[in-house]
Amino acid sequence: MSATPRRGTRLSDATLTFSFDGHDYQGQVGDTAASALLAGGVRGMGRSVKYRRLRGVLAAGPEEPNALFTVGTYPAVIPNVQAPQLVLREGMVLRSQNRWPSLSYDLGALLQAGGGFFGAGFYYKTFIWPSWHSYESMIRALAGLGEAPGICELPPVASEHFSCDVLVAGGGAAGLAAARAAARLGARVVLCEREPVCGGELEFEAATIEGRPALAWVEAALAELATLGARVLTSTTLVGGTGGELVAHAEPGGVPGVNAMYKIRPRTFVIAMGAVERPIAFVNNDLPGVMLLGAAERFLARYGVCVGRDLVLFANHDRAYAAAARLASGGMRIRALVDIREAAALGPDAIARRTVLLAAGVECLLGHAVLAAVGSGVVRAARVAPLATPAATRSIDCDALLISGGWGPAAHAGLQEGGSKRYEAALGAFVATDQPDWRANAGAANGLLELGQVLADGATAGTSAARRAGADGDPGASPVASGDGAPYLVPFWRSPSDLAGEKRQFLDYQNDVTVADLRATLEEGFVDIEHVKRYTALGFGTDQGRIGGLLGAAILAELRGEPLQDVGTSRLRPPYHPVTMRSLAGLRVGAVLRPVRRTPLHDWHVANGGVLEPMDLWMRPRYYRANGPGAYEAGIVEARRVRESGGIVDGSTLGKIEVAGPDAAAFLDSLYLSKASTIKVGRSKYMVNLREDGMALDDGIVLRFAADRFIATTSSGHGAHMLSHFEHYRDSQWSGRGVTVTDVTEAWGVIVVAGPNSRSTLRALLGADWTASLDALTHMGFATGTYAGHEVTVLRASFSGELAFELHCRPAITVQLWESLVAVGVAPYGLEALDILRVEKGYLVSSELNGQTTPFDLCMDGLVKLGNPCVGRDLLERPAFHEPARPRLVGLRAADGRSAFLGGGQLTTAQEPNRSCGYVSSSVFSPALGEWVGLAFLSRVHGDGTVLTCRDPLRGGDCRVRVTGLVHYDPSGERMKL
Amino acid sequence: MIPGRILNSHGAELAERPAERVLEFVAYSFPPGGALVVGWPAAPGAVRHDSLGRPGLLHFAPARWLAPGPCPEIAAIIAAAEQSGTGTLVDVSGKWREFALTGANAGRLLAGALNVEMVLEGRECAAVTMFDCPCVLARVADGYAIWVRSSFAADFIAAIARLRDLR
Repeated sequence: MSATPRRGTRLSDATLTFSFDGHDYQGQVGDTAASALLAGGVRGMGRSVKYRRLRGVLAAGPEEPNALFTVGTYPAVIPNVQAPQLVLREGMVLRSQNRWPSLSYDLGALLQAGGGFFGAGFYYKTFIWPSWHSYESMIRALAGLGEAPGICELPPVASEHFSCDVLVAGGGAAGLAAARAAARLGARVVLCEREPVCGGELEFEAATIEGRPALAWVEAALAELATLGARVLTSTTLVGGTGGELVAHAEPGGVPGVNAMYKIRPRTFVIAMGAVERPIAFVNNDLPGVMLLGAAERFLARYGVCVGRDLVLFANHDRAYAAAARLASGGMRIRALVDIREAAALGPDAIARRTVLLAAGVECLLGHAVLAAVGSGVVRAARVAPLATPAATRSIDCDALLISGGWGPAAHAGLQEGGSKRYEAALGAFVATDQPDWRANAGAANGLLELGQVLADGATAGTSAARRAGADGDPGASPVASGDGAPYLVPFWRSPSDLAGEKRQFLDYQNDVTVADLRATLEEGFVDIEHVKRYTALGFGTDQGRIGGLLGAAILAELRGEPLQDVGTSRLRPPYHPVTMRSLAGLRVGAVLRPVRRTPLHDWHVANGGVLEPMDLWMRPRYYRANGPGAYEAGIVEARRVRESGGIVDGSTLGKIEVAGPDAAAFLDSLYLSKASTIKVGRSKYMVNLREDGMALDDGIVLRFAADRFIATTSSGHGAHMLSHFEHYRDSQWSGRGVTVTDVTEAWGVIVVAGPNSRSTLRALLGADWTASLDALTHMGFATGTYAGHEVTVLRASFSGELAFELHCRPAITVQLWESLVAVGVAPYGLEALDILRVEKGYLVSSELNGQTTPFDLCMDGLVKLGNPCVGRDLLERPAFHEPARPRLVGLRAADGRSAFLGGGQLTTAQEPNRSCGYVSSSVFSPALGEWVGLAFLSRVHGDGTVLTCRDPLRGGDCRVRVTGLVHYDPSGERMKL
Repeated sequence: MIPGRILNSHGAELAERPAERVLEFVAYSFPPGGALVVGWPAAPGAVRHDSLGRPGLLHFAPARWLAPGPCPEIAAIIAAAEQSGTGTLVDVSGKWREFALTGANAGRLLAGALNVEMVLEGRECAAVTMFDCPCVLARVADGYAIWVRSSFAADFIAAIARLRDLR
């Protein structure tokens, strides 16, 4: 870095250090990566995706297609950050992309040698023989932009949702005028500006507004906005929206820092996002050193960077002359200004400035074009020729070739959610029109380029927007300004070239789409702009067609021999600017990717060695560490203890739906295979319901508390689904009837007390008031009462095969009850033990209710025979449900009485060893029986006693198993009758 | 430490109110078919306040009302509504945990989850999902009253704390 600090509107004198591709550089505070590297003499900053051509900075905004960096050190990296948008911070680590092993020496650049073969469609046609997979790894390695981050912890990105009266996108001249006018009327205004500071073109345009220099006017406007309570969000880009809600993204430079996603719902919306300068196609127009003219002006004004010493300017409008004067005053030498227009097309401003330039020795060529950029790795000269005689070429030495083909209004926001395009011949571009009432374009986004018009249009749009939002104050006078005049633009898209040269006339820099590609695409029969986009990748990638979209459409129009307005442009879709997945995820990262539901006992489980695992959104203890080093060992200990003495398990996760009203019983009858209406008050019933197609949906116990009041319990994992099922039928077929459905899952904690000592334990715990009730409770009966002043329901039901009771208690006393049980020596058990106990008894675990099993498959024929006409009942008669080979639930044991077999194992017969006739759905080691037992779905043709092979090659190999009845333990159910 | 206070910084205070008996009244149809007492918050999002000015009966979802810690007056009118055959009353004590979010930045914190102004436009309460947690949100004099499904409450508190640290 030079000893003298650069001067620019965004720079301070303080310096900072950063690294790029392993080399250290110095910048100034306020620099972007692009400005600091350009100031340091770096020209090549990336390589293209397809041909790996070395590329430099083309633009100074988010449209930059070439200089995309990966920021950070793996794994905490963020790829594809545009260098001109990346504001440097001390110690920042940057890396160029699409090259190996280095930017200077890239093996992938060898592809350029085959560039003639790699035109549009080459991949589609070539890599199919002998198989795509032969090339897949190589192409995948070459494809894509940058490197995805690895597993790392980056700060989360917060969202903020808010409303306002008027949202203004864009903080340039039009946006500031609009925001100020709206705020003066009393509207609540939010202004989003993608750059760190407002001003837009005013940063370098020599303009006067309301009698003061442009930048002073910008400061005054911002101060007034602050006084009026407007909210100004800088470094914030409007990226899209839907349903009237607009999304703005603040992620300065894409690096960890102050990031936010704003979701804004405005009453009215002013689009003042300016216009994007477009390039001109000529041979080698992608050489480093070829840059948009406006970008060069921005780098000079903002960062004091001279993008070259000797410049050639190539343009088709008056603004180039004013730009040439400003660049020259910045210390750069203008070798030539090449204008495609003849003298008659120049405006008065250009005529005057041209005279001055000529007097200063600048060669000003009219009716000429740059046919090619010359150089290797960086531009060294421009080859120019008269358009009338393009063969008469000559070279002009330069180290920067600045091009400007005009501007395309930023139409993205105006073409989403309604809106259409209008072609403006004077601009050679499309403007968004037919906007909905609440949305308007202003300034350059509205096709206006003269400063006075831009300011007036902004003020008018802001006033209208505020009035539509209900404000009625005084907007004040529109700003009066003098600045760059009308551009007198003559649309010009590409310089003359032969067919060979068209292969290096680049339209889409990021995807290496050339004029030759468009010609080839048309020859293939792809005519429509949308088809052309997809065949060539024109407009793909991070710039989303902002640089090459309009240029490509214009040249397509030329090749088709049709007007540009008839060809149109491809559809513009959000996001307008790349948004990191981190920003989309917001707070939902890492351990909080999704919410966790906790039971009242959650903290107790954690504090007492419970190893928790997710079930749906719930966290439930799989086992307790005190009982063994892992789930297998602890589960055996816990299950054995339940059968020997007793245990408690947290059943609070069970879904609980209170169904009430005079039609409650009939409603439940319509949803379950068996009738709820036959349940007596104070009794419960195990019930199963079906989906509409006859498949089993869920099972649970339905308790009847009163003639018109029930609580239906559901399995833990199906609670939300069952509630939705109930509510659907309540609202669609029982609407207006006397039944209501209320989720009371969290209103009741559930503690299951199981084991031979459970009754005596509860007697001691609940006290004398409960003794009679407990003694009188028969299987599936329940009693209600109080404990410590709170309601408690005790249900005698068992899913373990042991005498068991469920305590349904209010959450306020759940922990107290649980700890009281622990205090008298009852130990908790987890899901592993619960599964063991269930499989031993042949009860469904969870994998049996998988959406593919009918009640017949689950051996529930008895429930079906009850004939209750419930949802799904009719479709149980489908023939497919009764085919002999259809799998049905059976019991399974190891044939040798000791080998292990695991869930998922495939069952085969000796006759057909390679054809599965069923699979193991659940298996456990039974401590009560001393062997592995399981449940399996097996073709109905195989009866009890059949010996099969359980094939499980990936885990344990083969095991001989014997088909048994479902119930492995206590088949007569004596233990539940204690 | 103020009882129930969970967070108090950056211009926002989150405090949990003590657990009370909470009822939900669910009408058989919407609009409710039966005769409702004068002052019943029939419009969606309407709230009837108790004698202390606290939300006493919140019409938080179509045909569904929340009565947190109902005072005798409100308990009487919802019991009367049930007896008139308009709907059913369900004791949901323990289903919801009630929080008060107050302070100058209370709205800003909630804005991390939803557009409060839009959600409560023309109404005093609404059933919403905030930070992936089902909630009932009501505007009160000094901020917001929030009832969070109790199984989600720990996540809700964590999300508020996390967001506060980012602001």
